[in-house]
Amino acid sequence: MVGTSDRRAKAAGMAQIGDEAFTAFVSAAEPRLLRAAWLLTGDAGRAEELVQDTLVRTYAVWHRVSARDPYAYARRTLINARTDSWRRRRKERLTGEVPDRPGPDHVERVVQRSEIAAALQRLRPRERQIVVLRYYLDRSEQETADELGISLGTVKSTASRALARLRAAQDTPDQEGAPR
Amino acid sequence: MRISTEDELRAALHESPAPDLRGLAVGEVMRRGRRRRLARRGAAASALVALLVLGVAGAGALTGGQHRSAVPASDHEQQLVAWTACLNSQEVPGVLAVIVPGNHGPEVQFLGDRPAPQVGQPAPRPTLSDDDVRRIAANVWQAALEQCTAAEPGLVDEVQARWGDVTTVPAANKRWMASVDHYKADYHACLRAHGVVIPAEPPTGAPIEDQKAYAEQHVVMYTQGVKAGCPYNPPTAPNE
Repeated sequence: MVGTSDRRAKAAGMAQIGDEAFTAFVSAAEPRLLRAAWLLTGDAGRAEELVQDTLVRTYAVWHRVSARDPYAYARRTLINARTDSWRRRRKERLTGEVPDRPGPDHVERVVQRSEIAAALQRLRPRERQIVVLRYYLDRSEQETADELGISLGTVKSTASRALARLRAAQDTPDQEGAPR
Repeated sequence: MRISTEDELRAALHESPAPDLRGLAVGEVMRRGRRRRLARRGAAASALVALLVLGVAGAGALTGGQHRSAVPASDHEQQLVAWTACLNSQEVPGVLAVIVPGNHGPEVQFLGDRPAPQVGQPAPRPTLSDDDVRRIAANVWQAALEQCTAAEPGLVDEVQARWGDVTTVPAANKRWMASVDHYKADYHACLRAHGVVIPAEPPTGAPIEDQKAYAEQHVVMYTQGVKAGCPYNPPTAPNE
């Protein structure tokens, strides 16, 4: 019979291996998750919160998902968590960035990122999810449908509508101001 | 930036500069993840142990009430889970401490290590006297006080390693749990008919001492029920 201390030692050893693997996973996956979150939210602070929550959720089930496809789990969690946060959207916006930094390159980059973020924020939440899954996270139409639990036809029609709205938005001034 | 085609949209999403996004330190992520895992297991343990109540050898007392679905565990539930896991890690002979879902939240039960009655057969005489049960229970609680006052989350991992990971309850188990609910009604009716007192559940958030007292009363109830001849033929769990 295996003793309690032996089991604890074994569990601790496995936990350490799991932590090392999770650390490597975070290093590899976090940049892409952060960008996807920013595209979904249009806000740097909320994107960081979203990814943090996603990684915490992923770690909580790491023993279960690490042997399969942890990135797929994190990706789905990110999309679903985003849906949740839309329902409890916070009114304040956190920023760690000073807005009046000098330098033409910086200004140009802010303008560029504001354009894409503002354009995406004009889409409906479902449209934004599909755009990010299809065109940033490079999921196929069928994979996008599977991850969102919707039909293939809905993915196709929604993606088409989103692209049309993005085209139209370029000819229409942003009424709400560009989110950062 | 011009977006007219799918390729232009794809390029814009990939190549447009993003703000300086910072992730949380991975150590902090893991610390929060452990807390979240513990909270999830607090809920999962309620479902898991409900399956174990009749599944372990010599399953003991049944409680009244509805089974709860998996929901985030409160601090109180986490405390119960950690405390129960700690108790079992002490490996007190003949006693298994479990948490089962009750009408007003989770509750702790002690299952005596006695032969399980067979379907259609008279309930066997208990292998433990009331005093034995009380003594064992007292030993368990003494061990809890001495060893488990500062239960650590890792102890829950150990329990889960032993019992397996159950985060959802399959439909077959739900049907079984529903049949257990029916059985419990009959079982309790028998107890009442023989004058055996069914202890009242402490409310959610009751002090741990109340939970322990409730568990002790349940052990007594089961023992008296067996002596009174109340049949104890619960439905067989689907995973057995």
